[in-house]
Amino acid sequence: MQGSEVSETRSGWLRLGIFVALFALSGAIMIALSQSLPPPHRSPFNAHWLDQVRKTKPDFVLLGNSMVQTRFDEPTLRKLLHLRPVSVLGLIGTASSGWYLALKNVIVASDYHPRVLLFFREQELTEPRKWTHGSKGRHRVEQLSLAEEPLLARKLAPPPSEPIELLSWWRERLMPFERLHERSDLLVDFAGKSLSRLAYRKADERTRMRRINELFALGNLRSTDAASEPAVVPEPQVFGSVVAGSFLPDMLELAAANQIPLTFVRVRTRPAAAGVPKTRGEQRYDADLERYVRAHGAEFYDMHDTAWETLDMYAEGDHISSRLTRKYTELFVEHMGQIFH
Amino acid sequence: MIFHSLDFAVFLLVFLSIYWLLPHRAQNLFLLVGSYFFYGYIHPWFLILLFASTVGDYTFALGMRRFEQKKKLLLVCSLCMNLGLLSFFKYFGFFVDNVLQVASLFHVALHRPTLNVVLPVGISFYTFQSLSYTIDVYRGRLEPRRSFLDVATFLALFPQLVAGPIERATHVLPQVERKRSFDPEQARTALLMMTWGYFKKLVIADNVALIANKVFALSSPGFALVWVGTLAFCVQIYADFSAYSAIARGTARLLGFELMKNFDHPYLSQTPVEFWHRWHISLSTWFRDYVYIPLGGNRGSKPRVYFNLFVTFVLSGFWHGASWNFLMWGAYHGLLLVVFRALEGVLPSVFRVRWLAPIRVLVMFALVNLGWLMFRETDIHQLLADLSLRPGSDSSAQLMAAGHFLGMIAFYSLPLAFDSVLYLCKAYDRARATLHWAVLEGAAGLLLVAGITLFYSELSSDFIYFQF
Repeated sequence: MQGSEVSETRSGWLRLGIFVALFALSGAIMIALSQSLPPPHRSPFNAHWLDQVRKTKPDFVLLGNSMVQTRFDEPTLRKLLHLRPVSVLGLIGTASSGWYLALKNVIVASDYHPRVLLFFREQELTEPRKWTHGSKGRHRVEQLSLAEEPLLARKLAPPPSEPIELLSWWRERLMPFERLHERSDLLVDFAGKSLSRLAYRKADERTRMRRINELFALGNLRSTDAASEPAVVPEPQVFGSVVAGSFLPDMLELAAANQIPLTFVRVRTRPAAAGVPKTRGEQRYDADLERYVRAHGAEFYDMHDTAWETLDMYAEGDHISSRLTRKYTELFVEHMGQIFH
Repeated sequence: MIFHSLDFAVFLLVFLSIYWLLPHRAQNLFLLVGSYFFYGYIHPWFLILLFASTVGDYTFALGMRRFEQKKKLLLVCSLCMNLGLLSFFKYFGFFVDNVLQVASLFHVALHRPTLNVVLPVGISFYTFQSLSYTIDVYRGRLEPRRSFLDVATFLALFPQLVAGPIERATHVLPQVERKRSFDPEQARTALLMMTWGYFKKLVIADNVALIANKVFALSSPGFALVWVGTLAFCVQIYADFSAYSAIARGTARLLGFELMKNFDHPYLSQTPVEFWHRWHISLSTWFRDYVYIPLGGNRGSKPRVYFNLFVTFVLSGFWHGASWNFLMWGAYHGLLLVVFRALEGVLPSVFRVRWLAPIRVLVMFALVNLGWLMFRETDIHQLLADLSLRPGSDSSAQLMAAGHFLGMIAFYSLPLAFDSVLYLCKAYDRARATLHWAVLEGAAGLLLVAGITLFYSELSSDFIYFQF
């Protein structure tokens, strides 16, 4: 190697070193900045659902997320059940952590002992962290939480066993960029609100935001695959290895301790309605789940092969079209009436 | 495995640390094993197709050398194998659905077969890459390789395996065969390229995707909202796909490979021809070399040239997806090119006068957006409904939303606009010639990392071109 080449290589390494150092410096500044910010404001418990259950005094509570909200029309259901009181708790954007909290802080706390029909998708019952992240996820969980939720903290606190999830878990703790987001979102909001004001001057800012949110209510959406659907869906984990860390044992225990009959209903998803069969891993997981739930005194229904729930009934993703909520309710009672015994 | 996952970060770090310690042949073997691991990470059975395609084309190419007189037959075999795989996995459902629809028109009740074909990720990309190998060998532009390892490594090269750039054997195979050594200068530029790619994906594409997804999820959007949604998609698809290409090129450069440029500021194009020289360059040049020129290219009468152009673009549209809207999108771009060619002959000054350049850019941008609406609306009835909307059809809430979204799109697009301005002023070229270039690159990297941490989207989605 000639002298000039050696010095060029050396300066190349130096430039690379400086570049990597600047990268690291930038990362370090952002980490320090995010850690110096106070944790986000905690949302208080929302007593709305508790009041709703206390007022309704239901025989049945249909619990879940938007899968429940887009499938069941409460007045129609009440009529079909010969005016028996029923409460539909479609808690949008919640998953098993939210359902555990709803069972404890809404249903058990209401002092009624209705039969609870819990509607879920895929492996949601053994995914304790699902939809607990980010400002929206945290807000939804906090709205269902009391001041102290030791079990929730315990279940969400331990580092996951999967190496990649573990890395992600550490990343979230060491680099709480979410705190930075709360501030940077203000800039984006400012840009949006400024042009919204220009586009329509007649309404004030609160009204504008409310009307924009109403515009995108589930009822106004068309029938499409969910935009967030991944191109490649991984196989589920083995049920036995994930159940202990989930909220499922606690939900079953809580229901049994409070004489609340619990029924789990696995809803039919859009791919199932399109004829996509279960993979071997899914079959194994579902069989184990059903066995576990039944062994703990709860009932289990799997709607994967329900022929009456056809593809044309779906709106975005696995949601049922708002036009067909009543019809779905009628069909559900007609075909699955045994659930309401 | 996807580029914007921790899995990939860990994989790349471990891979690079071992890769650069190995001698050349072992590097290639390790690259092949790593590429197969990368591709089969979630669905290992996808590897069967990739391997079959590799074995097939390796054998056909060698056969072409050995049995000169049966060259054509072997090429046909390669075409049948690659296009057969692609047709079955990508177009089977589309074909069946259309046969059923036609049958129903004649009151013939047919049952849809229960066979549900899953589209293996990246199949459109690697089959085209594999075809380029056999076609180039057939044309005598490339010597068939005896080393299966080299051919397999070229076809499976993980940075560009899933969504391109669609590389040519003539460009990459020599790089596979050549001894590679770690170059810190290259590594630095690769890191910057990747960071810009991650910024475009996580900050720009994923944030504007939320807007496009919201608008195109509405059952009856108004005129303003549809076009704001289209604009969001226009930004999203460019940021998303060019991000993938940037990360792919950066990753390849870290491994000692130089991949072709896939995007070159396409929204600054003044004509349809220029747009296709700047957008998805690897695909447009593939279609030029393997479809347009064999059809006759620019040779022959004007109608014949127009026909060649149109057919090439319809096929290019169909390559994107088994759906009528993609065919329509391809036909639309084919038509744009035909009209441009015709107008260029009649009104040459319109396309040459310098002061009209900004207007040409704006007109081309509007035409490209019209194309993106066809691309995004997979339901043909909904597309026709969108196209029939007239200004003033928005409710007040839709106008508010359109304004709000437009502000957000403008905000997230600022870095792209800034990049375009620098490109137009030739600032990159000037800065590259100075001694401070490395410092500027370092500062850019610093800002990009800060930007990602501040504005990355919490709801990240797959790269759009994964579905093709």
